[in-house]
Amino acid sequence: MDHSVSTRLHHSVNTWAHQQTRAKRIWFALMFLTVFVYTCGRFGFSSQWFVILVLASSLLKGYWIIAEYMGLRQVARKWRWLVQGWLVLVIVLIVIIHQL
Amino acid sequence: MDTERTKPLPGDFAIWIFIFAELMVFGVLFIAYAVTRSLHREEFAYYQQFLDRETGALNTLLLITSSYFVVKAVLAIKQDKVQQCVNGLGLALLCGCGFLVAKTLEFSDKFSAGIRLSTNTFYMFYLSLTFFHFMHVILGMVILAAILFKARAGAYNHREHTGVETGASYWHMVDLVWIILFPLVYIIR
Repeated sequence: MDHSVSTRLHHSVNTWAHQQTRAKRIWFALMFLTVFVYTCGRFGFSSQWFVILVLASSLLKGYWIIAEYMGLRQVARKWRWLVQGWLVLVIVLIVIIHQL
Repeated sequence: MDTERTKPLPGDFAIWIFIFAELMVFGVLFIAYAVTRSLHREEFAYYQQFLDRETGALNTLLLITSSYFVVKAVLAIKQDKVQQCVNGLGLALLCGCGFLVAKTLEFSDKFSAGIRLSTNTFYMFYLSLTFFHFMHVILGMVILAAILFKARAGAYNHREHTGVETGASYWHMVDLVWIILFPLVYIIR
């Protein structure tokens, strides 16, 4: 096999393995945050700090889904910011309305 | 790397118009729920006690897992691993079926208790939001199933996989919306 083709193939396989590992780590983190929020809810937490914690975890989960799972981390900023902006706007508005 | 950040949106651009439109609609519904809740705090807190948080949490785990399998399917087809792509889409559909079964049981429990849209403001929002999302899950599953059959027929490879990315983007949007809907309706009291 031509050396440059072999190098490209090796790089491609490495990138694929890296992306697989990254996707799995994010899946673990998303599962952990979900179980954590659910467990806190089960214990009856309902303070304003708890609400902020819950929505902050949603913000983080949403960020990961948009950037990593939807693949917007690699696209032009305007598109990424449009979706992430929606996420931030909705969550910040919910927090503000909840505090009123 | 900046050069990597100039890639086009994954999948067909038309699906992104649809995704942005859907996100706007869900955003307005979430804000409407939050505003109404702030005006009827006691009523909402009282009726939220009767929601099944376990089912809600299970559904979140199912959607997150299905999204993970969809990511695996997209990564697989980019490497010409057609069978892995088909398996990923199949497992994602299985998780989607789990979501539909759990949600149907939840709805059936509420309907058998005589709860309707007109019961009160809280149930109007709860049923509208969750049922609207439920319909999106069904549409997402139809899209994933269509992609699965096309992938199995050999329609996608490492050069041409726009269809897989298009369906994946829509499915992740369904997941993203639930990520906010679940804590908003089931957890925050």
